[in-house]
This record gives sequence, C-alpha cells and structure tokens, in this order.
Amino acid sequence: MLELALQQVINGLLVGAIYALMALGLMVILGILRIINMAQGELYMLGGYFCYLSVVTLGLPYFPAIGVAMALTAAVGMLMDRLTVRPLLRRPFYMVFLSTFAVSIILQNAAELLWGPDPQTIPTPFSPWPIVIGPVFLTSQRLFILFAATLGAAAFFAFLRWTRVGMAIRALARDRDTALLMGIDADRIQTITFGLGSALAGAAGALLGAMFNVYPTMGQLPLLKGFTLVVMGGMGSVGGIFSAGLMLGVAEGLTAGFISTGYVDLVAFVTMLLVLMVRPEGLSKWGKAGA
Amino acid sequence: MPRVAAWTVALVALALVPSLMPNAYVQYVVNSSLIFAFATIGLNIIFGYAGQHAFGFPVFFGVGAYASALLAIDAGWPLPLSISFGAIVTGLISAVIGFPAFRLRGIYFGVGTIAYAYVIYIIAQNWVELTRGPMGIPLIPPIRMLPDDVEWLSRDTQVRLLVVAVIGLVIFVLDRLLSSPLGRAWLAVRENENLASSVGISPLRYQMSAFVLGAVISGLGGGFYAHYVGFVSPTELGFHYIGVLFIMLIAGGTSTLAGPLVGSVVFGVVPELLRVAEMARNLLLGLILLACITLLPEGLAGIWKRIGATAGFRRVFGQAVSGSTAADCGPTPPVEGVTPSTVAAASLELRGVCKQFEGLTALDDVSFAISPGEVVGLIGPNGAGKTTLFNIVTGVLAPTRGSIRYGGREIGGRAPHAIAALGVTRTYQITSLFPELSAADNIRTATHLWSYRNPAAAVLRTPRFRKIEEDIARSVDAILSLVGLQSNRETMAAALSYGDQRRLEVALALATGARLILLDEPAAGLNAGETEEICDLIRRLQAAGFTVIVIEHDMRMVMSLCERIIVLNYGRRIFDGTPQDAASNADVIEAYLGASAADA
Repeated sequence: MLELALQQVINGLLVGAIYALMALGLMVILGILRIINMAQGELYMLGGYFCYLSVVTLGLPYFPAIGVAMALTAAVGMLMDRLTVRPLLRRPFYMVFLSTFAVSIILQNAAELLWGPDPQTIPTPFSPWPIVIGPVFLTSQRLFILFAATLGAAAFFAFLRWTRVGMAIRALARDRDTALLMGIDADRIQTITFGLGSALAGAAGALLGAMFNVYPTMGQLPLLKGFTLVVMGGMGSVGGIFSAGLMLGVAEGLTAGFISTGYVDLVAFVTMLLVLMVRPEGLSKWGKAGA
Repeated sequence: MPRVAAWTVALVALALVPSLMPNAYVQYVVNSSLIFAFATIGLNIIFGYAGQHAFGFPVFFGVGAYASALLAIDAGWPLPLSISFGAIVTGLISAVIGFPAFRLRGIYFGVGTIAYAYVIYIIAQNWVELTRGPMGIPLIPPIRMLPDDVEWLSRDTQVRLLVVAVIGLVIFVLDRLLSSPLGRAWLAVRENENLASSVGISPLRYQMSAFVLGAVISGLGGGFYAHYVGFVSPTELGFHYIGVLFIMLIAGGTSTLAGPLVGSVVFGVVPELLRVAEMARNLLLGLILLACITLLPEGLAGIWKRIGATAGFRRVFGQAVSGSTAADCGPTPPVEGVTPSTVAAASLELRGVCKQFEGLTALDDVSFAISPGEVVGLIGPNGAGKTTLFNIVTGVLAPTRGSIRYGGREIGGRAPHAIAALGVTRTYQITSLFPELSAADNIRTATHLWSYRNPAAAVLRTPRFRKIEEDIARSVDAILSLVGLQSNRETMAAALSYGDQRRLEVALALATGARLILLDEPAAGLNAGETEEICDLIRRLQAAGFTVIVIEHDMRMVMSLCERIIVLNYGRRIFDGTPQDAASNADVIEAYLGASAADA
C-alpha cells in the first residue's frame, strides 16, 4: 500500500513537472496577449516529433536532439505568431483565440497526414533497468526528465527575473500601455515570447514523448492541464505554477493508483473549476510577487 | 411580407431539392448538415447575439444526442418524447453548468466552459453503466414518420422535411424573440454589460437565458442526430466537434439568422463533396476557419448582406424593418409622458455612508437627503469620492457602512439592475453606450424596465405585447426628437459625434422611466454650444419633475443649473447649500484653492 503510494507520488512528480513546463509557456503568452494559445498542445506534439525525427532520420544522439526539437518548435511558434496572431491583434480577443484553435486543428491533422496516426517511439540511451531505492522503482530516464524539467523551470524563472527581455515581458504583461510608453518594443517582445513559450512546449514534448510515445493527438491533455495550472498556480508566478504542477501530478498519480485510471483527468478540471468558483479571475495577478 | 416569403422559398428548396438527387450518400450528407444547423443556431444565440465566449458550448449537441438515445433505449420512450425530453435534459445540464460558469470573467469564462465540456467527455468515456463507455451507443431507434411500406417518400426525405420544418419553426421563434425585449437584452449584455445593468437589465439572467435556450436548441438537434445516424459515441462530445461547429458559425456569419444555416449546409456538404480523406478534411476545415477569421469576419451571410445592401435586396433580407421615419425638426416635445410613469418619484437619503478600499477611505460618513424634483450639483476636487458615491447609490459598489434609502427602501448593496427597477439610473463619466446598435435601438433597449417581457407573448405577438411595443416605438421617437437625434436615428452609436453620444446617454437614462437620474460629468469635453444643449436638456428634465444629481467641474454650468450643491473633499461632505453660499464658504474655497487662498 505504502509502496504503491510512494511509487505513484514519484510518477506524479514527473508528469507534474512536464505539465508545469507547458503551463509556463502558456503563461507568458497569456500574460502578453491575454489569450490562451490553443496550439500549445500541438507545439508540444511537434517537440516530440522533431526529437523523434532528429534521432531516427538524422541519426543525432538523444540529448542534442532535445535542443534541436526546442529550436525548431520555437521557429514554428514564431512563424505562427507572424501568420496567424499578428494580423488579428486589432480584432476582438476571441478571434485570436479561435485563430490559435484553427492552428491547433491544422497542425494536428498535418502531423497525422505526414507521420500517420500510429504512436512512435523515440530511441533513448537510457538503461531500461530500474534503479531500486527502497520500495520505489526508478529509471534513469525518469530521473533525467524530473531533473531537466526542474532545470528548465529554474532557468525560465531566472530569465524572467534578471534579464532585460524578461523584465520587458513582465512589464508588458503587467501594464501594456505604460510599458509601451517606456519604449519597450512590443513586436519584438511578442516574437520572443512566442519563441520562448513554444520552446518550453517543445522541450516538454521531447522529454515526455521519449518516455511514452509520440502521436498526433498527444498534446490535447497537456494543453488543458497546463491551463489549469496557470489558473491554480497564479498568473506570473513561476514558483506557484511549478509547485501546483507537482501537486497536480501527485494528485493524479494517487487517483490513478487508488481510485480509477479513467477519472484521472477529472482531478485537474474539477480542482480548477473549484478554484475559479472562489476566485473568478484566477489566483494571483501578474507581477505582484515578481516573476 | 417579402421576408417571410423568401425564407419559406429557401426552406422549401432546402427540403425538396436534395430529393432530386436520389444518391443515398448525398441524402445522408445533406440531412446531417441540416441537423448540425440546430447546434450552430444554438451557438449563435450565446456566442453571437448574447456575445458570451462559451467555447465549450458545442458539447451540448452531443449531450442532447446521448440524452435522447438513452431515453429511447433504456427508458423505452417513443421518439417524439425522447427527443423533446433530451432537449429539456440538455437545458437542465446547461443551467447547472452555466450558473457557476458565468461568475468567471474574460478568458477564464471561455476556457472554463471548455473544462466543463471536457468533464462531460470524460464522464461519457468512463460512466460505462450509463453511457456504454468509449464504444458509444449503437442501434438507436430510427426516426419513422410514415409506415415502412410507404415508398413514394423515402425515409431520408421524410427526415429532411421534419428537420427543415423544425428549423423553420426555430428560426421563426428566434426572429420574434430577437425583436422583443429578450433579444434586445441579449444584445445589450453583449455590447455593454455595465450599461445594461444600469438600464435595468440583469446580466446574469439574460446570459443564462441565452445559454439555456441555445443548449435546448442544440440538444434538440442532438436528438435528431442520434436517431437519424443511429449511433452516438464520445467523439460527438469531443474537441473535433467544437472546432467544426465554430467553423460553421463563423464562416456562415455570426449574429445573423441565416448565417448558421448557410454555414452548416455549406461547410457540412462541401468537404464531403470534395471526397478527401478524413484527416485532409479536418486540415481543410482548420484552414477554412483560419481564412474566415482573417479574411471574412462577417461570414458568408456578410457577403450576402453586402451584395444585398448595394442591390436593394436589403428590404427583403435585411434586419427587421424599423419604425416610421419621423419628419425631422419641428417643435421639441415636452419631456412629460415620453415614458409611462411606472415608478413614483421618491426621495434619496444617505446616512453615514462609508466606503473603504483596502485601507483607503474613499467616502467618510457622508449623509444628505434629496427630495423629488431637486437638481443637485455634486462637486469637489479630483479624487474627492464623487464617482464612488454614484457607484454606491447605483449599486456598482456596496457601501462599507451606512444606509442608502430610496423612497424609504434600503438600496445599499443591491444590484444595479434592481436599483434601476426602483427608478434610479445613471450615466457614466467615460461615454458608455451600446456601441454597435443604432441610436434608436440604444433607446429602445433602455426601455427594458417598462417593456412587456413575456417571451411567449413576444412569440405569439399578443395584443398587449404589440401595444406596448408600439408605445415603446412612440417613446423612442419622442426621446430622439427631445435630444435632437432624429436625423441620426439609424446611425450606429459608435459612429455618432461626441456631443451626440453624450446626449444619447441622457436619452437612455430618460428612456428607462427612472425618476432619479445621476449624471456623471455630462458636459466633460464638450464645447460651449454643446454644453448649453446638455444644460437645456437637464432644465427640461427638471421642469418635467425629474430628480437630477449632476457631477460637474464646469462651475458656470453648476451655478446656472443647480439650486443646491453638495461639496465633497477627501471623501467627506464639507458643504451642502446654495451655490451662492458655496462661493463664499471658507471650507469650499480651501478645498479648491488651498489654505492660503482662504486666509487671504
């Protein structure tokens, strides 16, 4: 019983860290544009496929392939911003939202046409043999994912907190008009933000896609989970989102272990809806607690 | 009635022309596209007319399909009952979801509805005892209208006749609701929620009514779908359908009667006719959605309207015919009787009103009373708490302490629309109108409180409904000429000149039938001539017995209008008396000019 619980907690931490990466990508775009990028899930999916193709087709080792996947996903994200978000900025916000929704449909089906609906496995150098620590089984791949996701979130925090571009992103998110008056180049920052948010999604896809599989619809749930974390963790709070991610992961792991695997996905939505009932505008406002 | 004739011809053609192509596949594609029209019409009510971005809303189509299928199979109900009860069940589920969801704001509302949709999807996947789980429900009893041995009318044609007839009925009902207080309230909530509640429209009530009515219509379509296709699965509750229905609505044309129908038929039939693979078809649909958003914001119906407007077809397919084009100018009518006096004039009494914002005291123990028929100026330096006071009296904010009584009734902390119903309304410091409605429709919308708000009467056009709508039309004309906007009656409020907009705001306050009107800097930004027009308007309100409280910085205007002024400074009432006394009052001079001036 306790062994199962511990094992589920560890598994949950891992998935939760990946959700958090998705959420951080959503958060910066939401902060700047006030929209949810519905294609974030497909960017995650592309991260998985780019990594797969780099390893299988180009013959790259897995670790550099993650970097390639992040770079390519960032490029797709920036292109998406140019083609489908920029032209709509003066229109009602739901038009931008629906436009990202259209991009999501397009990317998902294009992936299915290009690479087929079957799940693909990314070959990794990790040993399949588990490391046994007391009652818990761990693979080196799981440890690596947890480590990489934590590192990614920490790097992202440092970037928002201490770089000029990070500061500009926070300023735009907090008060767009004043930020513009201070001479911040909103166009350039928007491109960077899309690139950054997409790279985070790409990294998440390359990491988790290697552990499970990559397939065209793999991004749907991580997108929604990511959004619930933005609501629960609080806009603008990297630490809040990351810890909410870990908590959600653990709660899901325990639900799967002790209640039913079918209802695992309800945990996030029900929690989010409860949070929203109490705080209809989400937990915290951008910028109050720094990054 | 050329409009009715055109609709009838179009619907009959929709029902009969496909029968000329006896290919079973074509029949199937056309029929299922027509069934989707229910879902797009429902979506159009909440997303188009009421302007609520309920992105997860299309799930109710699938909910209706499940409900009707289960009622028919598990409960063994006959189809007419299962389909109509399926629609009612969908409406109930939508009410349970909508009530908490409408607490959410902005993007949180949109994504909150998606989360609800996803919860429904997960339940359909996992509650196997009820929903049969991921494999779906097969062998749903088909719609049979005529005995099986009837051969002269194919089953597909029978279904299509039924579906088109019900669509016709839905559109007829919707058309009548749209040109009734209900439809005007939907548009008002979409255009400007705060102003809507100031003129007595409860935002939640009309958001909910649009949500539930839209869900019932979607659920009705879901029922037809289940019994026509014979199979429902969680796919019908999934993301794919959300995308498809939004494409049909936006590409067809939001906020138009024909748009959803056109969109459903065109985007239901065309991808099938292209005979491309399933994946490529979805890709195509995504591209169409993107293209429509960027290139065709008004949808196909928008193109139609643009052609129509130039070729003079507008008369036939355009919006409902507006009232008489009253002759311009002429003597200004008196204010008396432009609206029926449904509420009595009453006095306003504030006692010890305080308002604190996180430690900042915006109002500190403010007390005064205003009798019916007075015109009172509320002045004070910037930040003195004048607008906060208006917000508290009209229910936008609740007081921290103290009592606000109107006609002896405590109104502190009540909702703005409830206070408006007692006869208290306001205008806003920053121009606040229903921007995309015409001047006349702005005023018509503001008559909500004394309109006949029975939806059944609106659909049946009962004598009482018609009489009150005629009264409203007369009142709109009278108010338009009162504020000098007859020649702009069909101009969109957003396109009016600034001076016209400010007078239209007063016209809206007048149209509500309120007896106490709070004007927040009505002359701000106006030139001398326009200011004089507003003053003249306020004087005529006074002559007609209205009570007016006006916040104004233009002292000449205040002096000439008000027989009494109240001065606020740092949230405290420092003066209450005649304008002449105010000019010589030491506290007032100090507040405006600083201490040294008072000493001098």
